[in-house]
Amino acid sequence: MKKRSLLLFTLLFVFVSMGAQKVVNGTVKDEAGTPLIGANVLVKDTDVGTISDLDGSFSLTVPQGSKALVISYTGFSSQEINIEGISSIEIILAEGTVLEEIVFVAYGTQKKSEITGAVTVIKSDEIEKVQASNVIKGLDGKISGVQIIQDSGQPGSSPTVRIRGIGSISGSSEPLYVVDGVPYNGDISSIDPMDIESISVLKDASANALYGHRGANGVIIVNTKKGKKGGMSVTADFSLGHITRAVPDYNIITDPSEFYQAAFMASRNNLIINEGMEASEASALAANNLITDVDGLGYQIGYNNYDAEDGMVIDPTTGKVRAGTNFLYTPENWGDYLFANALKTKAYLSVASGTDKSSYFFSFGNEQNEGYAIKSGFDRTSLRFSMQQYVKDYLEIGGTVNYSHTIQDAPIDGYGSGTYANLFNWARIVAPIYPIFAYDAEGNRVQGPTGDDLYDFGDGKNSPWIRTLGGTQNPYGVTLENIQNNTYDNILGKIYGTFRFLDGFYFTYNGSADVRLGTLTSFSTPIGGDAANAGGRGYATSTKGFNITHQELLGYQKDYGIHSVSALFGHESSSYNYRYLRAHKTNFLLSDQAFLDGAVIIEEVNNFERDYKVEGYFSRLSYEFDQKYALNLSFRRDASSVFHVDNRWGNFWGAGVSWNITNEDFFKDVSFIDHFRVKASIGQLGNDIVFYPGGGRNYYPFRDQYQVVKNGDDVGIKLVFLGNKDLTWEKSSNMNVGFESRFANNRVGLDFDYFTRKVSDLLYNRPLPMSSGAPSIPQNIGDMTNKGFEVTLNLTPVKTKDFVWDINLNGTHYSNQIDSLPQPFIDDGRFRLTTGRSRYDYHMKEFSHVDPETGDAHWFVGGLDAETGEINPDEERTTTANYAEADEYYMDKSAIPDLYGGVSTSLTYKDFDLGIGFSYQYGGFGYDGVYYNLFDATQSGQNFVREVLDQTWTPENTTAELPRVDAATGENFYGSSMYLIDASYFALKNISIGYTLNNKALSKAGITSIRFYGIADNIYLKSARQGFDPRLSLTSLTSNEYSLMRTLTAGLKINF
Amino acid sequence: MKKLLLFFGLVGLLFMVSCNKDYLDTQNKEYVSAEQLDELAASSPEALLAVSDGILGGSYAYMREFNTWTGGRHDDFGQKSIDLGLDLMSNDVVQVKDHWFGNYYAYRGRTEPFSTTHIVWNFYYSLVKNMNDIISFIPDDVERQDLKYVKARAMSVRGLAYYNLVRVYQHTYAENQSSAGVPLYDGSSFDGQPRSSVQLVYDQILADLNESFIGLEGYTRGGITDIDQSVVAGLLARVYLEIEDYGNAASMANTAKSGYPLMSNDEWMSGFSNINNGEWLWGADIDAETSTIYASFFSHMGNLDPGYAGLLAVYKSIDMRLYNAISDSDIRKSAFAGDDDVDGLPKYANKKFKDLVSFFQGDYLYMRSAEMYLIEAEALANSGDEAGAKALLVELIGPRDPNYNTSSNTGQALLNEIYVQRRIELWGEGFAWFDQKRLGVDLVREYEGSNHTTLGNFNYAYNANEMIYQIPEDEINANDQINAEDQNPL
Repeated sequence: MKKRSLLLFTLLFVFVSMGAQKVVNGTVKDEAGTPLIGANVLVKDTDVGTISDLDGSFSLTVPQGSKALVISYTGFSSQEINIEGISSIEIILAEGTVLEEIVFVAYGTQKKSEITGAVTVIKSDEIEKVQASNVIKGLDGKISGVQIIQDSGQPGSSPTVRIRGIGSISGSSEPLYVVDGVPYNGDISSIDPMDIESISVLKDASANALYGHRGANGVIIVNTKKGKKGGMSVTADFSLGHITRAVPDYNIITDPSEFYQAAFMASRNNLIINEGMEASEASALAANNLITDVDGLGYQIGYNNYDAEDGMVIDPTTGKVRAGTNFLYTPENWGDYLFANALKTKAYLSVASGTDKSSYFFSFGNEQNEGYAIKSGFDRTSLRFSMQQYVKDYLEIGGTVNYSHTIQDAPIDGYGSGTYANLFNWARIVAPIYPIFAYDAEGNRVQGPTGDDLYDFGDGKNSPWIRTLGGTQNPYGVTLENIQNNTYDNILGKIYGTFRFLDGFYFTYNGSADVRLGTLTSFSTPIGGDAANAGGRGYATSTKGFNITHQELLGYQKDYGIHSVSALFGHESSSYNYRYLRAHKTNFLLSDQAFLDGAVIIEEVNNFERDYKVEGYFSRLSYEFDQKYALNLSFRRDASSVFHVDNRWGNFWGAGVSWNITNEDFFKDVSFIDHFRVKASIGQLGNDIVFYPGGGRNYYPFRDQYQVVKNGDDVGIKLVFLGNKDLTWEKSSNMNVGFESRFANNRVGLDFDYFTRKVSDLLYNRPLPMSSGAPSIPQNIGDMTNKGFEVTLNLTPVKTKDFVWDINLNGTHYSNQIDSLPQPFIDDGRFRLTTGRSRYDYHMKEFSHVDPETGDAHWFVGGLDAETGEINPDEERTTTANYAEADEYYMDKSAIPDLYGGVSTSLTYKDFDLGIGFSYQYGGFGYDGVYYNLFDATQSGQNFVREVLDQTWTPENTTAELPRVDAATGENFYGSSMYLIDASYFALKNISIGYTLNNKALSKAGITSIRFYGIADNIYLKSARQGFDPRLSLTSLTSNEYSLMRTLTAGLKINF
Repeated sequence: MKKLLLFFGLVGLLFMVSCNKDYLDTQNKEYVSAEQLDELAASSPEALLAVSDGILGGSYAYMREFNTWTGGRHDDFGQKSIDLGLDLMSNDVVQVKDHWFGNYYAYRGRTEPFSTTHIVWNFYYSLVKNMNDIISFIPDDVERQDLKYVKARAMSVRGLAYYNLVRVYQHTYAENQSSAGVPLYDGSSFDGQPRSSVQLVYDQILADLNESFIGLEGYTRGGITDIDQSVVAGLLARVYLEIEDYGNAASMANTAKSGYPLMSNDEWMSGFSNINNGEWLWGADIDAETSTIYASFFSHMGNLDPGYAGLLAVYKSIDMRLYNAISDSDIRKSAFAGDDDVDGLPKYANKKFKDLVSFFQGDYLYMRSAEMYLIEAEALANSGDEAGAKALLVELIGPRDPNYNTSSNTGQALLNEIYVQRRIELWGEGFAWFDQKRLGVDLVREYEGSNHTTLGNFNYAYNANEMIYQIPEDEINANDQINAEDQNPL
């Protein structure tokens, strides 16, 4: 009875309740007012609920007594809404904090909230947009605090990376690369960017200390993609790109008549100023001898493109090509032949799969980049396989094998900036009057016996003229036959096993082997150029870099309520061996085949090995309290084979704290600030990279080194490098304080870090008195400080369901100062290392003015304090036209920029996305030697920039700002402060657009999504001078380097 | 308990995997380390000989090497690049346009910031350093004769290096004995040394060469790429001539030339590129492997060779006055292009130096007996034995010029004749500039009809500041014993 009545009562109650139900109507929107479709609306503490419809609206019948609704939506913070007495509401959901982010750090991962150091993470979506074959190259302007110098546009080439200033004077300032947890000796361009999951850049001591011995200049951790638990996914990506030269060249003369005019001017200037002739006499003589030097002036250009007599091409009264003169033939434009638009293709396929028992990842990628310079290119084929097997709940084993084959054709490799065989130099310096193909005296192309057009080597053999620039050279024809090929096979294998035991303990062993086999071929054809008289010249080189690393890690990780503790102890040993074998032969049978068996004269054979070993012990302790306070302590003790046994070991450490203020109770009510965390770290890191004075890493700087040289058939011995047993670690003491913050419902994010890097015991090849007969000795000398700040601002001006607009701005400023040196100063060419100034402060002869009477350049002389070498205001400076007499002065100009960084923005509208990235540099000075070389008339037949025609001094243009161009002397344009140029730039780095299709129809076909995209890379550069690209060198020193490529790519990515 | 054991077991493992104590010891397999050399030298007297001889041999190699300083300059290939460069600072050698070696010809290179002065200074001091190594390596009381020979040869190279240095960085010995010379090193440290007086430098040079000369008594060399007593005699003859000790100069020159007969006319015209020439006392054997190709003597000097001179027309020519001074019947005149040259060279371009048989494998000449004839003749004439001097001239010039007869000149006129013959015979071999300084002959390139080019068309007195080099900037920066006030005037 009782039971029954209870049942009845209950039913009744339910009925009554139902009768008391009320309906709540509402809409769910995001902060931008965009309706959110499919938001979960649940009555609190029940399972009564619904989801919002297409307009974001819902209607829910709620039981009587219900007080609140809970509305949740993926990616947004859940919200609890009081509904007492309310029947219609509008709910605005704020973007929520996503799952705690995990970041790859030294020897493992850490929660982002636990990191107390400065770490920047670049994700795969950003990496996929990179068009350069070396992924790091594409990240300039994207990472605050990091300078990525392009160095060269050669496909497959590596950039120079400087993290937070300059780490060393003559040691290495390059960061350490770590791939999948193991220090990497190979080349990042051997890894397909599509295989990369994320790149973490560790910038301060707290983050780097575990890489103590090699972390001084920052660490770049590359993590590759792995299989994940939860089904299979397949990604296929294809793209096709069009390649052109990104930056137009200097304003060089391309019109033959302008060149004749400029050469005439140079010759005439010489005759008037140096030989003291009357203007009219000089004009007549210069014009008459310009092409063929009949009167022995010592200057002629050799080629006549016109139908006039040699002496009649220039009209001496106007200085221009005589009116009514016609081309006998039109010389080809070298640039048009040397640089041709080209193609780039990429194909990529990956399969990832995972279950609770195991996961695997497989990928295949191919990239072919033709490069826009002839015979240049990069081709990479890579295969990657990785798997994890969860053998037991306490045992996990796995491994990765990556193989890649890279083929680089680098036609200017090994040809210095000033050599004729350097295509970029030649295209600038060859006068436009010299053709590529040979012409006869009637102006007709000369054909060989097989009917081919013959090249003009300028030596008078195929054509009747002798070129005064680069006789026997024809870099176009020769480069087509030459081979400069660098092929590498890269094999990276890694295995690991993790054993978990007790509660929270684990032991991991990582073993890795990394082999890089190089097959390098260099061949100079006998048909012309440098090897013409040697019958062709070939080098076959084999290199092998082999590295084995063992790591044993013992860790502990446990959360005790609001306490989170982790500890790591480890041991690492690494052994690197480099082996080199090269043979060099001349006198080849075939003109375009490099195999050495096809040649007869053995020139040289070289073979050597280098070994490098390091061993270290390390530990890290992390503690986090209630997601508010975090503490990180790291210590590492390392030994390097680079130092003498008594000075091998170094101790390195880092310590950091952070405080998440927004997680404090007292901060809960502050709604404007969503996140605010302050952090601070200090620590000390080491550097063991010493270079030989002339370049190349010195693995034995503690030993005197002798070279075995040939003395007839006897052994000769020659001291080449002095060693120093006392040499030890260069130390870098780092400090970082900063904050990360988000405001206005996460619409505004501001991160700021202030840092100092004090480098002491700098590894330096100290110059000895030359008269001691020993050039230099490696020593730990001097101290240097880098100070600066980096700031990143993230803005989300618009965020609706369909439309999101993000903006990211970052900037870094640093200053560099030398704190102490063992001698008053060290002369370093254009720079002088002086205490109190920066590593890259210019110190050179200072250009004063142009003498209006003679057009001579004048430089300053005198006014220097005899003791200090500094300007003495009490002494007067004068000027001199004698370059040798001029003094060098501190220019108060540095090559280091005041500010550098990037700006990027992305817009997403429904299925469309658009990204635009800029990079910039403000301040700093470059040294544009390549440009001023194009004012030198002493090498007759060398081209000029067009400024020669109207901006240099002539007897008629005496107020010109640039000095006289002179056929007999180049002194007026010798290196001085005249060459300095503002290195600020602003570059439109890339634009990407995409359209992603993911709908039901597709999913029925088994396709998750299809994405069409287009990427334009290296689109625009604004610098102080056309042709001057400050991005190519750390100090903006110009050289005839492969100028950057522009790529326009269209692609398709399908996910299954 | 089991798990706890496991835990400690693993901690133990962590340290057990620590590497062996010698894990970090690596061996040099590219350059040879000092330890390896010491170990080898200590192993036996033969090994010590091999090492010492090796260092000496290394220095012979260095004397013809590319890039002895730094920067990969094509005007830096050891002794012959300096010989050529200094010749280009004389009256007698013309460079037709500004190119490599223009720094010498235009007198820019002598100033402190230029690579040229760095190259010259560094080259000779590197030799000094290497010789000091050998000299200190071999104990003074060494018993073995072969080790004594090595030490004696090393001393002669050191003497040669100081001799060239002091003549480049100061005016000639006469009247300048107390002027600042160059720093002297004994190999005991790398600390910078001050400039020693010219007299002290010559004392060192003579001490080195005399000790070497005595020490090489009885030594038979393997080939003329090595130094023996004849070569040391030749070096001593040069030095005695410089310090006007004519008696010793004549006797040393006479000693040096014995056994090295003058070459035939055919040989004289064959390019000065073959070490098998019987007149050569000392030279370097250049082959495919030791060739420095475009950065080599024949590339720059051989107007008919496919290098800078031959291909890019950076011709090296003879001064018009000297050309005209060669008798038309002298076969040596045909070593220079005249009007309408058969090889298409412009007038005055030299054809004396050529390496037509191989691609820049022409051998390098350091000393030949014709020079000794001329030293002996000059020394005899100066010490009153004019008949002896004239006889030597006949012996030397007679075969070259059928119309040459015993000179009727006497006194200064005879000395002038010997000087002109010296300039003709030794043109381009590295003597002309030093001779001008020694004999007080001004630099005169600006004269009526001069074939010197604008680049170098100027005149300086023989004792002008321009006739000595400035000490390189790098030396002054790194040597606290030599400061700006010790620098030679601009």
